[in-house]
Order: sequence, then C-alpha cells, then structure tokens
Amino acid sequence: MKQEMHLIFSMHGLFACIIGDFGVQLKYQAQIDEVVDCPPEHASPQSCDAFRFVHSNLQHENNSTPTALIDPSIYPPNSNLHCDSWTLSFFTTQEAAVKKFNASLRARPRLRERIGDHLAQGRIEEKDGLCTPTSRHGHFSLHESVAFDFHSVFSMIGPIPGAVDQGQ
Amino acid sequence: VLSIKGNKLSVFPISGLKWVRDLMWLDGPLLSEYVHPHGDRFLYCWSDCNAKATRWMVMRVAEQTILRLANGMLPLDFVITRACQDDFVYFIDVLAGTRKDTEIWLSRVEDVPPEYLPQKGVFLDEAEPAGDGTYTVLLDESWNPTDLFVLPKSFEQAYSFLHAHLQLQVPTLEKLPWRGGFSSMHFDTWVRRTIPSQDRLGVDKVMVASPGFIRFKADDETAGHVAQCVLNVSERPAARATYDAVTDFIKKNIPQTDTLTQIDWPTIDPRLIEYTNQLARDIGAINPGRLLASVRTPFEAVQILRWFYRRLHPMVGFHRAQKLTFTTERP
Repeated sequence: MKQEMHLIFSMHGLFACIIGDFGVQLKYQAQIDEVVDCPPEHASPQSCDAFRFVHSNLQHENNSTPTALIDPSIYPPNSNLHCDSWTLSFFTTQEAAVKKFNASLRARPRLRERIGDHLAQGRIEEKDGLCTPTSRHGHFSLHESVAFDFHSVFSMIGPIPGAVDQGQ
Repeated sequence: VLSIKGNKLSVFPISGLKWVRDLMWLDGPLLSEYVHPHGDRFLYCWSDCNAKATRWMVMRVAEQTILRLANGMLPLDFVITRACQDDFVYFIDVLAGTRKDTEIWLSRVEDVPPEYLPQKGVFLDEAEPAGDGTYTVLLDESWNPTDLFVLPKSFEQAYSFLHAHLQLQVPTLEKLPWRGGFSSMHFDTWVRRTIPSQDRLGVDKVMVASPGFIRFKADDETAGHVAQCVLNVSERPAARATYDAVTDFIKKNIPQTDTLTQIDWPTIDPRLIEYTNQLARDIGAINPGRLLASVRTPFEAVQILRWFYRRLHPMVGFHRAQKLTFTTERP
C-alpha cells in the first residue's frame, strides 16, 4: 500500500508515523510492515454491521486479539505469520457466520476450544480500520485502526445456534 | 485435550518439512499443507487445545489427494484419516505461548479419537492457491500419450498469448496472415518467443495416475485466465456460435488471400470490429480494445481471436469429456 509520512502530536511529544492512503493509522503497523503486501491493496475503510465468533465471556482477551498475538502455538511448526495473522475475522451477516462456524465445527470438532462458540454483533465504521473485500461466504478481515476498541462496539448475541449440538 | 492412545516419541522423526499453504483458516490455520525435501506431502490438522498446549495431528497424504481436497472435489473425511499413506499418524503438542514441541505420539490410525475426525460431507471452500509460481491441472481419467502431448502444448499456446496480451501488453502483435497452416504455426512460434525465457510456461511435474495431475511452472493469474477461457468456451454456447458466425462471414466476404486488395474493407471493417468485440467477450480475458489497437486491421484482430479459440479447443474437449479439472474452478 502506498503510504505517506505524517507528523502526529501525542502525549509523548511529536513523532512521525506512517499512515496509509486512507488516513487510517493501523494498530499493528510496525508488525505488518514486516509482511509483504500487507494490508492488501484492495483493503479499504468500510461501514457495515459485523459479526464475530467469541468466547462465552465477552471480555475474554482472545475475542479482540489477532491470532498473531494470542498464542504462537496456534500456528503449526515452521509456518510463517502472514497478513491475516494481524487481523480480526468478521462476517457481514449472522447467517453467514453461523453457517461458517457449523461447517468448520464439522471439519474440526474441537474448534470451540479455540475460538469459542458464541457470536457477538457490532458495527464497524470507516475510522475503525481497513477491511478486506467480503468473500462469497460473507467473511472479511479487519486491520484495526489504533482507534478501534472491540469491547466498546461489540455486544454478545449468545451461543451460536447448532454449535451446542455438535462435536460434544 | 483428549488423551492419546499411542507410543510417546522423544523427537518428531521427520525433519525438513516446509510449509506450502493453509487449506483451512478460521482465526488461524486449521489445516496446513507441508512438503518434505523428498517430495512427500504432509497435512498438519489442528485438533485440540487447552491453556497449556495446541495439538496438531500430522499425516502423510498423496499430493493428488491434497489437490482434490483443496479443489473441493473430495470431502475432508475422505482424507482425514482415510487417505493417510501410513498406518499411523503423529500427534504433536506445542507448548502454549511458544512454538516448541512438548509431547509427541505415534498413534495408529484406528486409535485416533473420533473427536479429532471430521464429520461426513465437509468440503473445503476457500483454499488458497499455493502461490508458488505453479498452476495445476487435475487429470481425471485415463490419458493416452497423444492427449498428454496435446494438453501442455495447447495450454502453452493459450498461456503465451494471454501473457503477451495481459501481462506484457505487447504493443504490436505480429501480423497474422489469413488462413491456417504455416501462418498459424508462425504465429504460435512468434507468441512463444515474445515471452522472456524466465516467464515461459514450463512443466514442473506430471503424475499420470487415476487420478493424476500436471503442474505447470506458470504465473498463476495468467494460467487462471487460460482456465477461465476454456470454461467459458466449454460451458457457454455463445463462443462457438460467434466463432462459427465469424468464420462464415470471412468465407463469404474474404474468400481468397490473394484478392485482399480487391475487398471493400471500409464496408466490412465495422462488422469485423463487432465480431472482435463479441468473440473477445464470449471467450473472456481478452481486452478487445487493446487487441484492436495492437494490430493493423480489424481483420487481423478477428483472425487472432479465431487462432486463440482454436488453441483452446483441445482443452475444451478434455474438459467436456471430464478428463481434466482446473484448480481454479469450483465443482
């Protein structure tokens, strides 16, 4: 992504940081600078309703943490972190999220141990970061801006329908 | 995590595995493909976790099986663990917060806990291409030597043209004289030579089996365009109808190559431009405006499209006979 240098005032004084074409300062900019083509060129600010898999305790820190920071053991040995490792996964509709969760649970029946089995809903605004284009399955990834606070925007819907009946 | 029935190992006995791609991803990889320096393929299947560790199940699986899994042609339960090439799998527990193995088991396939097996009928839906400068075509039925010669040849011709047109954006395409035979062969050669040697299509690996595959060294975007053009011609009657109409128009209006100077070009050029636009749209991938700008006359543009259509045709036949599947098409 083409980038510009901006001067920013903060409580720590004047410092320079890199801001993308869209004027969004990303939360993990320093880390994703190490990843090729990250964020992807087609990622852009969006405003949309969003749904995310969460653990039953909405305050669980993994609910709002990119996988790169949750636990390195999430990645199989000798694999590299990539661009998606620094994003949060969302779905544009509840139906798409439920469908994906149940399909994934059928593929890996212990999945709820890793990503929870509840669903949270919120609204992502353009200031919240850069979204990848929505896939045909309703999934997109968010490169969070420094301003984005998952816990202030998202609220619990409840257990994912169907999740309780499978894989137990 | 569940208890494992098996023999505990002091070290993971396989070294040198290289990550190829993630086949399933949901907030991190759930299924990843690896390759051993000797060529064997392995799957790392995320299986379980708790506060102390993440557990991966590792098994050796044939490459053509993984290709079919990734292409949505095989359900996951046909692969895990039914397609395991050994009578055993490995379980690796990776210490939470690290990438360090803590415990490793060798477990018989029949002792894998059912909770670690996929349910029936689950297909991968969005596996990423390997992104390693290769493009794979799956071979579905018995292939004879002639067909095995024709497939890479026609793929290369179509690929070279699209690479020149889409990637290199060659400003002037070689003049293509009117009828087949030597002139078309000349164009075949010219198109191929237009491509820098490092960008030319190569064959990386061929496995002729039932099922098998052929893997090209290729720019996967251009190769994907070739596949899409074949699918467009194979599955839509419009391209064939336009090709026949163009051919008929040429026979009636441009009967002889040695009488070209006597033809009333201002009258028929607009029709040739229409046919160029229509045939390019029906085949796909080709930009008719750029094509017309890169030749001297609309007749050359339409002839090049007819040449391209004929180069696709052997692959269209294989696709219709269900002898091949492109890895960028979904069933």
